[in-house]
Amino acid sequence: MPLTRRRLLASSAGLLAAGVLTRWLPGGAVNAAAPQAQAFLLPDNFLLLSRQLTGTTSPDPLLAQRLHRWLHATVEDLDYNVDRLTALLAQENGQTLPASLPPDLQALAHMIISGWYLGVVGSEHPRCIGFENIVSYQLVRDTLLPPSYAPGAPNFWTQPPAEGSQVGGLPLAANANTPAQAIVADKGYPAARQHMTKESLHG
Amino acid sequence: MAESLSADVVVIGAGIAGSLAALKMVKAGASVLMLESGPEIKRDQAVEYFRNSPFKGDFTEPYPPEPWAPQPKFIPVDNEYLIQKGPDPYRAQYLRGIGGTTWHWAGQAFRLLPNDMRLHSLYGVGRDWPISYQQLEPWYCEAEYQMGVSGDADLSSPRSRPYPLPGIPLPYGFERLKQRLAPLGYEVGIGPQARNSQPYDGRPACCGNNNCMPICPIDAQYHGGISARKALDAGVRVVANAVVYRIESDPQGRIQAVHYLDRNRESHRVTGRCFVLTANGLESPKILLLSTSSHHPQGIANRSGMVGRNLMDHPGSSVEFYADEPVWFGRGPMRPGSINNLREGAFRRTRSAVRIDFANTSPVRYLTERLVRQGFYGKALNEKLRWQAERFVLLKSLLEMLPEPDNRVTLSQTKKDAWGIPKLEVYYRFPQYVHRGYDQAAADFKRIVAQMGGRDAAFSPRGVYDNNQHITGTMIMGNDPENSVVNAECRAHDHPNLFIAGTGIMPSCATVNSTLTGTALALMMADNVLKTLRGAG
Repeated sequence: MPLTRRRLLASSAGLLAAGVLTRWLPGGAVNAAAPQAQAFLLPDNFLLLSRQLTGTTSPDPLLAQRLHRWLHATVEDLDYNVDRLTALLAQENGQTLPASLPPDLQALAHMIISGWYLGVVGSEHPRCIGFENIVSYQLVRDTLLPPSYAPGAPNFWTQPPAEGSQVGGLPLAANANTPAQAIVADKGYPAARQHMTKESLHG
Repeated sequence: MAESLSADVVVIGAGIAGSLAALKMVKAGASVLMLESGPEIKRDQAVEYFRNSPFKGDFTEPYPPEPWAPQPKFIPVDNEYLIQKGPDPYRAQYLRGIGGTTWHWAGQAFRLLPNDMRLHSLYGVGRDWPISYQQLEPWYCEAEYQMGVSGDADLSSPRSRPYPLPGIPLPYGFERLKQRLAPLGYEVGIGPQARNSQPYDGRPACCGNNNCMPICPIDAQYHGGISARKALDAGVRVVANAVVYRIESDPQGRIQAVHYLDRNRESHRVTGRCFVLTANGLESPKILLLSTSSHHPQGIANRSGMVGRNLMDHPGSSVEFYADEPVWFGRGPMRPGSINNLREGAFRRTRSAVRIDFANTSPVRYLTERLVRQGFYGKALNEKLRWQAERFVLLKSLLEMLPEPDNRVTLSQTKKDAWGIPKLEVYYRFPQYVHRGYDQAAADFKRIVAQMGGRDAAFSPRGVYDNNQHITGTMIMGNDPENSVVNAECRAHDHPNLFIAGTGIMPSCATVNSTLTGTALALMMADNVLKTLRGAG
């Protein structure tokens, strides 16, 4: 199999996306972009296919890395199948995945689309790899924030979204939500207490 | 050796009803001990669980259960904690933990209509309450001021005090629907919500996180966890992870103690003068049915055989469509307004009344999932998603079940949970009364869709209804000990020192969310417990 060229996903566009997101959302979830922009080495063909499937030129670098890592661990001959899927889609140029796609490539396309748009991968045991940075929320961010986030000012919703601005035309307050300690996916929550104390309830 | 616990009042279940009753009683000078089967719940953890869950639509995800306090769960598959035995499903989602299910509610804090409590007298269906709206009204006020309810119009439920908070203004899209539907006679109004329209009681105003269900990240929305913390601060002793499995009575019917298993499966006996059961409309009857003895072969408070029966909720239908103008649903709280002028009339003789809710949940995830399923990708997917998200409208009806003894929960004879406690089996059947209500809601939906220039309208099918987790009727309130479980004081007919409250004692469920009524009943009950402790009851 030919070696695929790997590219630093830290082009100006990529960095910009991470930077914008970081300013835009206070931290909290493990999937939000880290405060400092990071660069990831990702294969060219994966990035090219991601751009094709998402219709976006600057996919979120952190989500790209998480999605590629999961695909790499899950899909056999990933590089080869990414090239196959890219070639077949290039012939179609359609709006929907062609019915003629072989089942394995249909599945791969769905994995990639679901990862980018929903932040969820895996059908048997689904995993969340992104939330704030998924494509669907990025697409509507001039009108809606991801649920559990808010611009920080009550009653903004009484007005229609301002043209060409973020939700309600308001900057996101830095303290709109208190950053909370991230919890890993295995849900290792603290052991329950038998008798609660005031401190525990106020924790 | 197991520790011995005792108090003037022992409360079973630390949800909103039990916690606010406990708070009231401890403030009046009683010693109060509150037992809760589930763990403590923390808001910041719940927010993180939500954000990191692959099942964003499952409201139980932020609240992982402990092995000793399992919960019904239906996504990705039914965990069969609640075993379905009837022709129709009864899929109730509820939480077991400090604060209870209001951790993931929408804060809708409606009062009943006075006529909702006189269905049998007025229309010959269902049951009358043993108390009038006017009698309950002071406790409605008390509950509203505890919870911080915002609202404007009384919605035909007369009030002796104003709402504690002004109404939360409707989102832009709701205002557009309000204006366009008014000529048809549909009154779109601000809903009463236990959600701060301005800072109240140490909590901030709602700023539209649009995540009321499953977790408000800033506590602008009231929930039972706030009640429990207040009770704790006021001196209530709270024991989490305490699974009550038996209520012990003497031969004369006086409750002596309750027994619980801890997280190590060790049993404890708790004694008291009065006992309060507020463990929700399914777990409470389970405890009563478990508590059989030679004196009480059918369980506690069950001489009438009515414990677990008359199960009611709000079957719901829906329509979704794309309006002919952008309405931007998903901005602001999730359930800020509804149509409330379809809830009462002589039609209730033959069909359910209807309340129509506007679902202001961000539609982005739902629409994306569907477009991805349909195979869209890239620019086409993006364009469709943006267009649909601007115009998507979802209406939901709430229909009224009537109390029917056959709709019931019983103890499974074969299935037990990890702590050895029998699971519940549920038999549920939607009557024609509800189906005819569906027909009316569908006719209303069609008119609304047409008025809004709706495209691609999709109606939920007749006979297939959402459940709304408004569990009512299973310990029904009435004057006759032969066909009801508690009397007008919320006192068990069979036991002078056992009181039951919450939504499970309601003799009718009407078409509005039941939490405020269940909480008002709990506060009324607390006064009756205090009278009993003082020897006046």
